[in-house]
Amino acid sequence: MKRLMCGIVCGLLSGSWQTGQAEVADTIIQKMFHPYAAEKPTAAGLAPGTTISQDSWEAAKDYLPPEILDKIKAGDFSFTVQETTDLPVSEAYIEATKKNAEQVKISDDGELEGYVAGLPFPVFDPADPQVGLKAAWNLRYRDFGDAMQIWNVFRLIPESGRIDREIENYYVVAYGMHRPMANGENPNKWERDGVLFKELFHIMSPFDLKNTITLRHRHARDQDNDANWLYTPSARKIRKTIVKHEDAVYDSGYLNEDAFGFWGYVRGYDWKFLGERRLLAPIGVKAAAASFGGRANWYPTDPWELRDMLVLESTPKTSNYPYGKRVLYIDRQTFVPIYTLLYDGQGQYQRIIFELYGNPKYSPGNEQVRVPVFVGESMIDYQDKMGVITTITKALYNSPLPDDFFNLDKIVARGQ
Amino acid sequence: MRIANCELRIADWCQMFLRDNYRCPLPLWERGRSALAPLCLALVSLFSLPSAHADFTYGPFSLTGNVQTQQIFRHPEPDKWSIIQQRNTLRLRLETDWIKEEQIFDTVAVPWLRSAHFVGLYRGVYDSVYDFQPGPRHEVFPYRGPNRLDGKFSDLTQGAAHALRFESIFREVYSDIEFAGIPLSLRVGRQMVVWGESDNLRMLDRTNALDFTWHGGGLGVETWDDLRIPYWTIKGLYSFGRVGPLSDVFLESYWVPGRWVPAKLGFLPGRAWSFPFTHPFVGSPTGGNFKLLDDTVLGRQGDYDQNPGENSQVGVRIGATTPRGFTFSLNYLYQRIAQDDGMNTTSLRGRNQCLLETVDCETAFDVALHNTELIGNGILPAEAYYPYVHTLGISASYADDTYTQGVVRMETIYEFGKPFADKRKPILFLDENNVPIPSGLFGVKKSDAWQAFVGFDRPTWIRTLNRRSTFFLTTQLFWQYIPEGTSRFQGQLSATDKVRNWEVVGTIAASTTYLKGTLLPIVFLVIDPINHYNAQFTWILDYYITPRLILKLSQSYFFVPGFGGQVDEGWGLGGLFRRRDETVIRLTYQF
Repeated sequence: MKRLMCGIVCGLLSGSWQTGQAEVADTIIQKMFHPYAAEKPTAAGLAPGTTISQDSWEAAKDYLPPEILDKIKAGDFSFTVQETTDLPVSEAYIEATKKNAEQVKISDDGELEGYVAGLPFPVFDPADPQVGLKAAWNLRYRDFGDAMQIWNVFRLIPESGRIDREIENYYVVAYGMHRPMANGENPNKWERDGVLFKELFHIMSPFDLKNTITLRHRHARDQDNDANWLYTPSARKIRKTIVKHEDAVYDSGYLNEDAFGFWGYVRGYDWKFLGERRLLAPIGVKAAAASFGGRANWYPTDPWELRDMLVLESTPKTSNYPYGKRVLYIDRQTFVPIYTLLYDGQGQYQRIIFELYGNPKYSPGNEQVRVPVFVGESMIDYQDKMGVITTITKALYNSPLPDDFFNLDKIVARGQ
Repeated sequence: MRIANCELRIADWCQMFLRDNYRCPLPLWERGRSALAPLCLALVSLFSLPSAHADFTYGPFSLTGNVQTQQIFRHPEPDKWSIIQQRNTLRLRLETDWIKEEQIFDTVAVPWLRSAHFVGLYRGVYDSVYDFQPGPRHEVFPYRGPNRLDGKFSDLTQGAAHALRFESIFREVYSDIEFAGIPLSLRVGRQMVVWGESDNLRMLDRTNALDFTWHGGGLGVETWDDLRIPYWTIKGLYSFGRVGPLSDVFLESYWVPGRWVPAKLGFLPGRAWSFPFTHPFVGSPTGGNFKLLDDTVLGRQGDYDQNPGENSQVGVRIGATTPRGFTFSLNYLYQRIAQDDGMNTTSLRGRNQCLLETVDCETAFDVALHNTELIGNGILPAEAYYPYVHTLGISASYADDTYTQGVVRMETIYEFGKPFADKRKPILFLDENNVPIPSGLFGVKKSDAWQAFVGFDRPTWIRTLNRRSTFFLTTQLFWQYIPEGTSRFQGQLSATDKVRNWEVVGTIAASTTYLKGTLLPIVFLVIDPINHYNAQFTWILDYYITPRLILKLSQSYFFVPGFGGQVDEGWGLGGLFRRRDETVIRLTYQF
């Protein structure tokens, strides 16, 4: 009876606490998610239509990291400037941030506590010793939509411009935890298994790799390793695999964890927040797919725009890592990394990864979506003179997938 | 006749690294069809279709494939070599989603079907060695004595060569059908069914028998798709999803309704790249080769008709994953024995023409006399024998990311009633002095058998050799056990071949990627510690000249370290293939 009473009282208390829990202030929400609603950023000499090139880079010198500016000065590529695009993420995500962010903490083991949905940490206090780690968690839980399907072509292009490898993929990532409810439907169907998202890679061509499929389960707990499977068509079996995040894809220098700027474990790095900057960035692409040009066709050539960005440095905790550090330039409004600079163990600048996101209005089938639509990716390795370019054929966001889509038996059937 | 085991192929390891080409073997009954008409048609279609991305699409149909040329050089000694294969292959893969969103080609509504996908896999082959007839006489097992050399390509009759030089067939033709409303899917048509966790060991992967005529010494160089014989099959899969704490729970079952054939054999000189044996039944007094009883044919047809009543093969399995990520399946198969799983069983059952101490056969002399009369008519007192066997099996895998950072795999089967040649049941015939003597044929005794393997895979950094990409290391330990006393069993390779209670084979392989994904090396070693440590070592290099043009180089060495005598081993390693070291050069254009 005592227990029952306690249950009722505790339940009531808990309920009252929940209804009375603190919310994030509207000003913070406004600054985080709608920074361009009232006014678009401007800078002298960077009016829309301005060309930034080898011959006219001076106006951009304070609005680009020196590593990128140097490449423009060297004539590697050029771009024009466009007006800043307002790209607010989904209302459900913003609402979830407002409701839940005040309760989120980082526990002693580095995991999130009290996180439900939305952006975990919309406030950045440079004096906070955990600000870097908080930014890393924000990166992990940025609004990627409930599901994203991408048809793309992955190419390895050396400096000669001749394509060394060309692989056509169908890529799907679907979240099953920590997603805000939208339209009355709960997308969090994998909570019981602790699976944050499931990710499938299906190679469509060339013929020797056709129907090779990989499946990954990323757990919500960062301490838990991914579960991976591989289906190969000639073996006609799906089998468990261990995928090392620091392994290079096709020996290209593009690591498994380099997807989307950073796709690895938060726990593997020391995170340092380097501050906020207003910078030029290739985002808000007004097309369904990004364009590439410049030296060896490695560079994004769609217009760039002024964005408020966060600069985050990650240093691997283990030795013998392919990178000494990486510096992510994260779009503040969407929390997607737009470019990531990678340095070797001696601090020498080595590579850059551009993650390109478009304006949903220009992406057929995604016009109503409120997340930045992925339109391409480019990794340029200056030491090895190699580019790894992903071009998008088609993207589809938040389109419902069958419940059995990621089942192992379905993957075998799909693999044929 | 023992079918030497060729299943220890490491093509699957190659597949782990996404490099081998999709290829499919030719079933026996399709041999000899004219290749030219469909081949030409396919080529004309291929180059006239509009190109879209990397493949060809025509409305809802897509066509992909490759064109390949392969040369195999055999070099038994460093200064001796000869070309034994010059093979030209065209592969086409035609597919279409013919039901999408409950509509057949967007025209007819089929509300009970969610989707259906058609796949047709064509292979056309031209083996030019039957035309230019290269090489000296072939060496035969055991590579010693005056009879170590036998036929050569030029010994083939024109008809025999013509029958072997072409293949042309849609090897797999099937449709995947998904039902709406229930989590049931079917695959109907000619196909392969592959179960189990092992690489290249045929325990649960035994639904489709092997075509040994494709490339007997091609361990790791050829893919299993080239080696399996596809059958007309109905396969169903019911997906339960989550059941209690288990996820990915499914029930899968297949039925091969009659058109089943056992492992296909190739003999010298026609199949120089198959096994080192000439046809065992040559020299019939009536001309040509001896026949077997009841019109049975070794490697093709036992004493049954190919109909559902007499020749159905079935299998069923359930699979699931536990909350801790342990994936497993429980399997049951009821199939005829295909004679391709490496066990020293027999596919030839000797049968006396009368039973001793019956009215017509009062003495052993009478038995031998009846057999001798049969032999005089060009028929051996034996049948090709492929009895049904019950197989129970378990497979499992577990990824240990914490301690070993590797994947442990296992698979085991227990089979009931496998046929072994029984030395206590000799088939007698009369010698020139009318004395009954053993013919070398034996009756059969059945025994149960147990096979199992444990494997371990691990991506591993060896930065001194590759600073960017890990090496994929994989190793397997396989064993088999026959619980019966085996002293009465006769092995099938030679008169000295013993059937052992225990056999063990170990494999280890490594592969990685260099030159920005354009150079893909693999090395592997397969070793049989029971039979003088006879072994095979192979290296393979795939080089992508362009994304579409791939050069493959490989060399295989078969050896028995420190032992020069005859080694009767059935794995197809250094005992059986010891003078068959070979180099493969393959060029592939894919589209």
